[in-house]
Amino acid sequence: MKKLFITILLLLVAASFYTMYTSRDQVTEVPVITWRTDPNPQREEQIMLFREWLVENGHVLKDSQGNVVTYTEEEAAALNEAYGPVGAPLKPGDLHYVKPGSPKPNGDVQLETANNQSTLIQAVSGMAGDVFDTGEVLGYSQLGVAMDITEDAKKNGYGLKNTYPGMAGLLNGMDGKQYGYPCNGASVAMWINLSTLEKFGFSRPPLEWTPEEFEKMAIEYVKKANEGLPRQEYFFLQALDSGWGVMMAMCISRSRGLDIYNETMTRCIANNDALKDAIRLFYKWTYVDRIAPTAADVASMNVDSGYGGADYSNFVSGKYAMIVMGRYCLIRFREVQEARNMTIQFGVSQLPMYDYKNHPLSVRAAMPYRGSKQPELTKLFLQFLASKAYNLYIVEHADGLPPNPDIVSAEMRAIATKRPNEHDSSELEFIWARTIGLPSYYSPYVKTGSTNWLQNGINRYFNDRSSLDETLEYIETRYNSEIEISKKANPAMMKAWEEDWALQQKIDAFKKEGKKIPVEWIKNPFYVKYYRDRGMLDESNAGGSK
Amino acid sequence: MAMTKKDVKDLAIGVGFLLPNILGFLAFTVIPLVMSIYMAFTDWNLEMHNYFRSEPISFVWFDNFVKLFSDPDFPQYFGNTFFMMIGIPFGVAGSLVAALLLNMDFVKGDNRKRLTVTMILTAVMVSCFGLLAVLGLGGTGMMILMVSLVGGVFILGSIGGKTVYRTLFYFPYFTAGVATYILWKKLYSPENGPINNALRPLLDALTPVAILISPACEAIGIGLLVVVGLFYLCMVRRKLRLWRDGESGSVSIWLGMILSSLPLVFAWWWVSPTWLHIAGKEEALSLLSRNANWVLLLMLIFLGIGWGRFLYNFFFVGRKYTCIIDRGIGDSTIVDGSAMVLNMALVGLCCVFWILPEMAAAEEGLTPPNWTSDYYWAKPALLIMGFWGAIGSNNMLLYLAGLSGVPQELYEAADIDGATPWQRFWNITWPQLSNVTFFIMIMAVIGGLQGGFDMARVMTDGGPAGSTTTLAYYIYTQGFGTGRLGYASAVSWLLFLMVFIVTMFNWKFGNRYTNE
Amino acid sequence: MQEKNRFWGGFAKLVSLNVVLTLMAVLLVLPFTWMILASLKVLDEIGYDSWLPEVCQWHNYRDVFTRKGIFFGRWYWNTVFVSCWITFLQVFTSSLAAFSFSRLRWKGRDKVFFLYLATMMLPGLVMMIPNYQNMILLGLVDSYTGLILPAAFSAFGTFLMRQFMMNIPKSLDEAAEIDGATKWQLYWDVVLPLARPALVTLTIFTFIGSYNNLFWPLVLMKTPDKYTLPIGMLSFQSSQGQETNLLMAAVAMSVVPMIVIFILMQKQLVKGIMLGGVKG
Repeated sequence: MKKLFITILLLLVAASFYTMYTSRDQVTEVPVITWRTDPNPQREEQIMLFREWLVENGHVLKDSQGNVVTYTEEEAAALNEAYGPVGAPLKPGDLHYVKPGSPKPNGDVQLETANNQSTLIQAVSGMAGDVFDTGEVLGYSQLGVAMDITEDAKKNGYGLKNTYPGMAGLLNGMDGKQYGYPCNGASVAMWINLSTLEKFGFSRPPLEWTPEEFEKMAIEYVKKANEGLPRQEYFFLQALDSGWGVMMAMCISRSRGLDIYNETMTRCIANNDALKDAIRLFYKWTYVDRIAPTAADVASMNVDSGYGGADYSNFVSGKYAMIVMGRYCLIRFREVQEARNMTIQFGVSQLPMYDYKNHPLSVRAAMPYRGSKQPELTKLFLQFLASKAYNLYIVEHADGLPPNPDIVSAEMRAIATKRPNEHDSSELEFIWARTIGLPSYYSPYVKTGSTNWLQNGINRYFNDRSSLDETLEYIETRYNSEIEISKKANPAMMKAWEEDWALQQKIDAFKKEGKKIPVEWIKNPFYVKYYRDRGMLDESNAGGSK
Repeated sequence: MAMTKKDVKDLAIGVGFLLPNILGFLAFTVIPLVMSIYMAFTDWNLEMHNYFRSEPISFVWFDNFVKLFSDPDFPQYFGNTFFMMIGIPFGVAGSLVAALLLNMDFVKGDNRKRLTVTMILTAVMVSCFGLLAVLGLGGTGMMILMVSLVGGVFILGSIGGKTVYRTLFYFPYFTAGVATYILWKKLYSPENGPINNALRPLLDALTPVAILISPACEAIGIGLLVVVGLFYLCMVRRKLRLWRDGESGSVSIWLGMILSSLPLVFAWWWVSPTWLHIAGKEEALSLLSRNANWVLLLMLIFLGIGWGRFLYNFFFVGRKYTCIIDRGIGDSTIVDGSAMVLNMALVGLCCVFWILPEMAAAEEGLTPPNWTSDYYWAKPALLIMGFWGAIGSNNMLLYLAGLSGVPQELYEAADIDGATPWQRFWNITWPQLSNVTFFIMIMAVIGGLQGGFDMARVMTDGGPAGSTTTLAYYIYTQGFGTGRLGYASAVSWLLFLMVFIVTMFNWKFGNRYTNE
Repeated sequence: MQEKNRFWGGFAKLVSLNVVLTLMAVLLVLPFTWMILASLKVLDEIGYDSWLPEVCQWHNYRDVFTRKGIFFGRWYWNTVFVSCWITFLQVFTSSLAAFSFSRLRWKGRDKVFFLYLATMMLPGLVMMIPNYQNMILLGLVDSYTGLILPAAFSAFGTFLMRQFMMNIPKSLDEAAEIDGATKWQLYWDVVLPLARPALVTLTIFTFIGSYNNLFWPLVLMKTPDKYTLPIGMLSFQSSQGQETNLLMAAVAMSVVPMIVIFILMQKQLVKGIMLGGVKG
């Protein structure tokens, strides 16, 4: 017995040493930051670009005497091996080829792509990656885990000026400071597989359409496409009880001048007719007209998923004629065409909506972590995200909207025409994002990580758990109780809320009297833009007091 | 009370042996425990108190508990937790059946017999294959697969006996975890999972039958309800008999009466028009309301008879009986509880019959359920999976151990009296196993209260629309998802309170029940 | 003649018993069968009615290891490594404590044991949240140590071992004492060898428990190559879950160690459960 125990103990100790030795966190000669992001295959190449960018901008590794350290033969060979496709190391002349003797960058990035959904708890424990991708900068900044980069950003060209006007609200904290910069922007549009449409005898839909026009075409399409099939296989677009459906509902509601939150974002006003009509439509589209799949339909589609999830694959394979998504769907699209050696035609339209045209923006923001052990390198990384090299890469490879539109707007046209089968879609989306782009709904009083009640409500309705009226009531009360909870949990927020609430009363009074509303009262970016476009905004005092 | 030198030495040695364990125990159990109690009464949330920010933590007394009970979702999660425990009696029954079968005489079948069995079986299998090869039946591959699977297990089992079956039974329980949950998620895939693939032709075949019996469905439903009512009356009679025999005290009969009445009340409530109206399901209303009056009447009659008998006995006859007030509570929990679950299942079946005509009349006929992506089927789907894992669990082994402890003389005596196997079971085996059953049940309930996290996390993310969110999963989302640690601690202490009640119940009544 | 009848009667009984048991066993094993067969298919075949793959795609198993972002081999190693440590610490410290509780007499022993017993009632969840805070304080988030330590000492193990050791005759202690054995020797040479079934049972339970543990690694671990299998599988499912065939290959491989352990140790395990279980 004794011997057995000791043997096991010794084995375990040996195993521990082995494990420690083979763990990734070993000491490296250059500072390394981790980037928590999605498992997009292009991230690797973006890191190569970062290394090159560092060298170009003079951030090279120096030894103790101040001499530049260069790659040795072996190191260069190893890197070329790693950069190239499996079994085919890069050769001289290839892009990103590492020449022996070239200087080493003073910094490196490690990817962290696995998704285990404990981001929040790890971030507040001081354990997050140095930069992490999130759509909820605001929420994280309130937790105090984000690094304030306002000053540095202004100085080094990655400030709010250097991105889309509609994106500002998504990168700021409640205190008005900047906490993030997009690593790519995403705007939500309707991507259309023109080849599939054509296959069933339909032509390209208009760039702008109302839900009625959309519905008419969809019903015809679904009927024709599924003719003679034992069970429905073709749908017009993806499932509407998803996050994308929520985006679309919001867009429709906004096109009638109503957002989820009020002007100061102190209260949820989801219980309005515009949203109600949208959700009613969705239900009809899913269960009556069958133009969008139900949750069960989705669960049963057996597809190869890869990067981007199942919606993507179904779109590419023609199961969905169109898909509500960001520009990054182009990546997969191109991949598939290459793999199958064929050309698919496709284009983009705005989401179906009524009068007030808007284009929901969301962001994949790189948020520097306050607990980062390499703050300088982290900031450099953000600076890199605003660089021309990076933005061109994004445009070229379709990984979303370029974070810094000004720097590439001149090249946009040329790049867009390079691929005729994409029918200017890249450029169209780019233009919409810059002109009618608005951030998707959010409120500083609704916490990061809390349930998406809008989606949850739609789910309830779709599952027959509640009637439509109850659903909207439910969504509104749930968001308002979230607001109550976060108010109570944080005295600073309570104060801010009360101030905003007082403003809201004034706004309501002004609205009733038909007076113009002072711009500095309004916190909700949608209403700022909406009232401005409708001439309901008083901007005489803008920027004066603050 | 001075300690002698020897005492001190003993203490030193005793504590010395204990030291490695108790240090860890203190650090990772006792200290967190104390912290957790404290946290439950504070507003500790990660927004204000984290690595970067330490606002003072304030003591908020029972605020968290008040919040908890005013949370509109909480009743649903609470209900889910209990709903998931419906599987327990079925799982335990499955274990018992497995144990009983495994306990039958394998040994007495001597080698000659076994050899014969094996030979005959091999012959049957070979001829099956031959038949398949000659006839070339449709889906030959699947047939061969199934035949060889069944045949393989059969032959192995006939040779190896008990051990082989026990091993196979034990696999699902032993491997249960993320991996098997992922497996089941795929099995449940609505359009191309093997379960629905198998169900589809079956249901297609059933559709005409369902249409055929459509007119009778209502009658069948009512018939089922009558069965429910009769079963309920049987339970009442049994309770009264036990009471008369001095085997259960008044606490036990009240408990038993209430438990066994629940399914009837439930049936009544389920079809009650007011309730349907509240839920805003007008279509469902039209579907069910035509039965509502019937159900109401039926259930009232049964409840009236049952409670009338009981109250009459209680107030007029019962005075003569002298029985210790808390006797037989263990029995009423297990037997009446299981009967309740069974009756609930019957009520559910009755509802199925009522909806059957509409379902069969639909364009596609009867369609298999969407399992985990359907609000109503998600919980049953998880229950079925749980049942799969529960049959061959430790419980089966405990039952096997219990069975081997039953004195053979009892059976021999029963054989002389000419008892049927059924009587043998109810009069000898079941009472002899009662302590095992009680232990298993209590453990399962304690486990059930805390359960559901892994399944929910892997298979459903607590959805659709919160239908599979149990208290454990709720604690996770609140504590680690949104960072409301104080609140989450409060929920976990509520959970503890429930476990505590069950355990106290066990201590107080378990021994009494098992020693009798 | 009667002899013959009895033979055929017994025979019929045996066959019918076997039939029933076989059907039950097959039903329970069917999901595993499907798993293995699905893992050998190409993706398009998954939804077919037939379970059999056209051609066995054995390379699916290799592909699991070479997928980008899926460090399957590493996860395997991590899980086994962490589980082994937990099991070792658990078994060793529990048996020491149980020895102290069952075979030594000292003041306050029963009170301390009662404390142990009392904590067994607590849902593990109660301790998770403060434990996480402790891990932050100790700087053990995202480390193997943080994964091992909180799981390595449990009241349950001590309880199980104690119950078993109580049943080992006390006369052995006296005999050993007469021979001049110290308590330490008594523990190693007398009690521990006799407590073998309990040791094995505890070993298996602990190993399987930590092999399958999802909650703690899920909240604690950050770096993907430090994941254990359960969270690894979870992230596999969330990132490439539509590739049913690869997923099933991964599931099959993660189930295999458990099945092997079970088959190797089942005799001891069954004995341990039967001896120790009911008395709890």
